[in-house]
Amino acid sequence: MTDIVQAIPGALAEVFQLSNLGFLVFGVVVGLAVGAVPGIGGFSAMALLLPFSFTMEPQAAIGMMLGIAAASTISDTAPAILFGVPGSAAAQATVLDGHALARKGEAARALGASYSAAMLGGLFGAGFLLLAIPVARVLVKAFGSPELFALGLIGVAMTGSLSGNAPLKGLAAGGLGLLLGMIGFDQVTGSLRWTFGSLYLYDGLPLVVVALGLFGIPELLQLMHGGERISGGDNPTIGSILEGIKDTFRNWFLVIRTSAIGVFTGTVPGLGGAVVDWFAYGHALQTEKGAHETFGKGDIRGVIGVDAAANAKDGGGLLPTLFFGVPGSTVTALLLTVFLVHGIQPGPALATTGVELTLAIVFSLVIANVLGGSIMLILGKSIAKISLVPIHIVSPIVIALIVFASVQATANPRDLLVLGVFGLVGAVMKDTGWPRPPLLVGFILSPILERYYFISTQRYGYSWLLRPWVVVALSISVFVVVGAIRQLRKVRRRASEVAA
Amino acid sequence: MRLGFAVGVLAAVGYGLVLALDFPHGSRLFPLAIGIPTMILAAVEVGRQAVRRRRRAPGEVDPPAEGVPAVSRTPVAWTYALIAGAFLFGVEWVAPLFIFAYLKLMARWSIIKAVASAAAYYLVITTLSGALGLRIPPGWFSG
Repeated sequence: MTDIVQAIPGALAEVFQLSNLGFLVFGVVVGLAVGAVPGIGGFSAMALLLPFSFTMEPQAAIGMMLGIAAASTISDTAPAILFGVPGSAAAQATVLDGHALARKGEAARALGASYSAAMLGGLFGAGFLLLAIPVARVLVKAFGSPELFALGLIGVAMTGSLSGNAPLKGLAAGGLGLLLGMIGFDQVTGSLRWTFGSLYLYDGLPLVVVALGLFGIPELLQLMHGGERISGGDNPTIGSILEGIKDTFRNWFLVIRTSAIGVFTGTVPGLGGAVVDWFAYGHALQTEKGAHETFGKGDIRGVIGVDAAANAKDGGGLLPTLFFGVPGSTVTALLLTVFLVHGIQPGPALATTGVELTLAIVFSLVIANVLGGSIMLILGKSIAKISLVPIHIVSPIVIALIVFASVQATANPRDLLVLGVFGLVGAVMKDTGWPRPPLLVGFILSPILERYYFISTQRYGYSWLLRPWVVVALSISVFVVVGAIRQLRKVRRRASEVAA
Repeated sequence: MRLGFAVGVLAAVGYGLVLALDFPHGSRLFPLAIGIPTMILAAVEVGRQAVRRRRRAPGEVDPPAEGVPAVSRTPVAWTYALIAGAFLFGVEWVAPLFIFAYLKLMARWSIIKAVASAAAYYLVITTLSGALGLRIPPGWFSG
């Protein structure tokens, strides 16, 4: 512990060196800009700047990359709240309550809550990474394939609680999502599943396009059919932004809980950003008072919980990347490349001999989150004004952006066919009361679950089912499903009492 | 529409399951383990919707779950015209053309303002693509 304290001044000096800080700020600005464009995300900018980072000083390169990664997950909530179009995979669940708030004329409040929660979540993630340095090895080793499989099962079980008042439809949609996620090349046996002879389907359906189709297109179709503007409210004010910030601090315990979920999900290789928001949303829905009646209709807690988790995951994701050399996502894989190019060997040694570098990464993450969150809060009022622009002016540009973002998935025109099909499926699901989140969660978790199940069974037979963490996780899965059904019964009983 | 969609889900899952029976042993384990319960759930939903429909008064139609419909003629026509056009002829030119046409016809903007908006979109997209090294694929016919 003393070596960590002794390394703090050196790490701070490294981070605050003018050129290093300049590149960190540059990364934050780039991250904020690309994060706000649906479907692009921080990964593209990181990939583009990767070759330039090779010739930079190590800390400058790492700072720039961390700046992009952290800031892009702060600004990606703006299109989700304003248009119902997630800016990235981690902003999918923000659509549910964030966009509902915008339509009620509370876009500025939702943005204020989103950015402040994201900032706090990011700080929580950085804090976790700091505390994890002495116990990193034990933490990562505690989770093998069986535990990761069981964790995925919790996610699937949570689809029941993401289904509002329709757990049956939710579970069916979750099952459908799991099946859709199996399309393509089976990594376990090497055979093809449901590809119908199409080369395009060998790699499966692209996640970005499926998400944009399920969420982006239906929201826009509904907006185009409906009112004159996204929001019927008054001009957004600084007061509304401040109200959102106050909401975040009022719900501090939710921020802590969902940040912990974000950190934990971030540490699991392969889970990361695509499901962290749904895990957090499901948790908030199950634990917050009255959430079953208000979530999905514009409850600020639905925004706060999700965005805190989405940013906290970066700290968690760095844990296996730094101490085991196992990147949890594409973003951390790029960071790992930067480390290796600069001769930094990830591994448990970073928790002992490389503690100064690890601390510098923690401090960079803190600065990126505070700076990114502050910039977005300052710009929040102007961003919220977009909700007052007539929808006939905004919608063609947003739809054109969705189409542009979709073809970035595989650079194949067939992405547009997938977008069209899932757009229509999403719109019909919206009109018929089928919940869309379970379908997406199932789709994301499908390959992960299958892979971990295969590895677990190959390595341990079926004895892995009795491992303590697996038993705990399986129990939680059952508890989540039973809890959702009981909650539904309670809501229905209350509704029939009110009707009587 | 509710019954129709439930039947659609049931049919899609059922068809997928039939195809899955021909997969090699290791590959069909998960599809069957997930597909069979999903098909049962979808069948229950079809049954529920069929009962609801029978109890409904003649001519009564289910309202959209959220009040305002997502599936309505004009927005769907515009959106799918853009998607089809971009698929056939490429996003690069079709998207600005769509923006111009929509702003002119639906927002009733002047030609100059509509052209300026379409041009601004084109400029932003091409600049972004150039700067970030993003690829804009050609359409089915223009490729």
